[in-house]
Amino acid sequence: MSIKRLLKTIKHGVRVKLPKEADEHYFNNMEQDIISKLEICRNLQQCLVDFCEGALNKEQSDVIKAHIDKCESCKKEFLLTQKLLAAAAETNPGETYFDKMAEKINEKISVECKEAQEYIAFFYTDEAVPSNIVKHLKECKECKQEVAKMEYMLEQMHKLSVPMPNEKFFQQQLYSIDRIVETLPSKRISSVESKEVVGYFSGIFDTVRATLLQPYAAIAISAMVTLLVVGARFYSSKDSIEEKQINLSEVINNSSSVAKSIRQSKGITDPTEDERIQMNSTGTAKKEDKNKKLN
Amino acid sequence: MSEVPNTPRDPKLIDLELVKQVKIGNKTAFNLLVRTHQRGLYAVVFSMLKDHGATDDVVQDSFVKAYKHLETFEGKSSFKSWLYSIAINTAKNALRSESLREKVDVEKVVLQSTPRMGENLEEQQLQAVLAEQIEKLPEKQKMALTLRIFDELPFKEIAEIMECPYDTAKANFRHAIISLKKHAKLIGEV
Repeated sequence: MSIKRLLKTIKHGVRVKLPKEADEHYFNNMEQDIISKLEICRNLQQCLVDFCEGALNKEQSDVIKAHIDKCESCKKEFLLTQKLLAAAAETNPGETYFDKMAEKINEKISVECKEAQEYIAFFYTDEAVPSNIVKHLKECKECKQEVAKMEYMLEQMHKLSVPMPNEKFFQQQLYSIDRIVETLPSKRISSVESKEVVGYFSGIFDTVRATLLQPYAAIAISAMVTLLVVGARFYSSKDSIEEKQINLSEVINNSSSVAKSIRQSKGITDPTEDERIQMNSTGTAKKEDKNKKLN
Repeated sequence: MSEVPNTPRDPKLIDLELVKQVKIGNKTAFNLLVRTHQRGLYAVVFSMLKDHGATDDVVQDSFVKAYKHLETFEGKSSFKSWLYSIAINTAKNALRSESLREKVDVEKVVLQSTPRMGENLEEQQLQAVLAEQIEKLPEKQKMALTLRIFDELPFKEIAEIMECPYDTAKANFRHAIISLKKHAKLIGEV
């Protein structure tokens, strides 16, 4: 809001009957006075350090002195500046401090570059790079060079190649693969019937068809093969069952002999045949009781 | 033998069409797939094994494996990335074998610069340094770099081939180029 408008607001806002002298011209003058005063104060406060250190000429110093005497806020500023300068004169952190400070500032600047340069590789993996980093990489001379270096390196890398054998080798390789594939059963499976079993037997069917050219012969052979496979499996499973039974009886025998040795060590005599029958019957009786309870 | 129908020009779609043909029994289509990917696969495997004979074996094995297990390829990725992942795993297994480990000289520089007209000594020197440093990169970084720079694959496919997350593939590539740039700086020429 301009000062003129502010003054008008005050004028209309207070709703006080103003004297005849307080006309438009009066307010215009007042505005000019305030603006020039503010302007003087601002300019003067900027010169205060020079004024305190005696770096101004006599004419300038006189103007400031005269203004400070009249203006309270500028006087305050002047006294504060004087105090600060006096305190600063007594403080001397030494030259090393300033050297370090320069180093620190350099470090801060280079850290920014370092961070930005870490993002250079992201451009080549199609990844998002923060806009401030992109801006830095575009504007910073050093970083721009780093981007160019990466570009150049990748360009050179594209010129590298794996030492390739001649065409004859690839033709021979193709021939070898073809020969191997020829010995393998042809696929001939539509996507609908591509079940593992069908795929397995299709090779056999192909060979049989090629030789006998009679589909029922192929079916008969596959049936024979199936019978053989099933028979062999049945035979092997029977064997394994017998084997398991043998192993189980061995375990029982072992465990009873262990139990016997424990009983002997504790001085317990083996139960007689009658006692065994009784024990078995009580066991079944107990089981029956338990089942009844559960029911 | 059925004819390979007119296929779209996109190499990935051509591959998928060829795969479809192989699945219905067209072995010529597989021959075309081998022709298409033979050289690229050789380069990738050779950069791992550094031995011509072993590379030849692995490339052949990979194609045969791909043929045998074509049913398992569902077209979720491109055929190329599926094939490359088979080859890389086969090469890894080969590297584990004692005989190959003896043969392979890890320090041997595999990549080579192909001098071109107008290329100065400075560029050739830098290329030699880069080739040497690429060999010294950790395996995953080297793989991501090879697939990106030499095969120009997108990161999505690199991730599929390397069987790692998308961001990991990117990070591997990024670390590789950062590390190479540091070493290239040493000769003060970049």
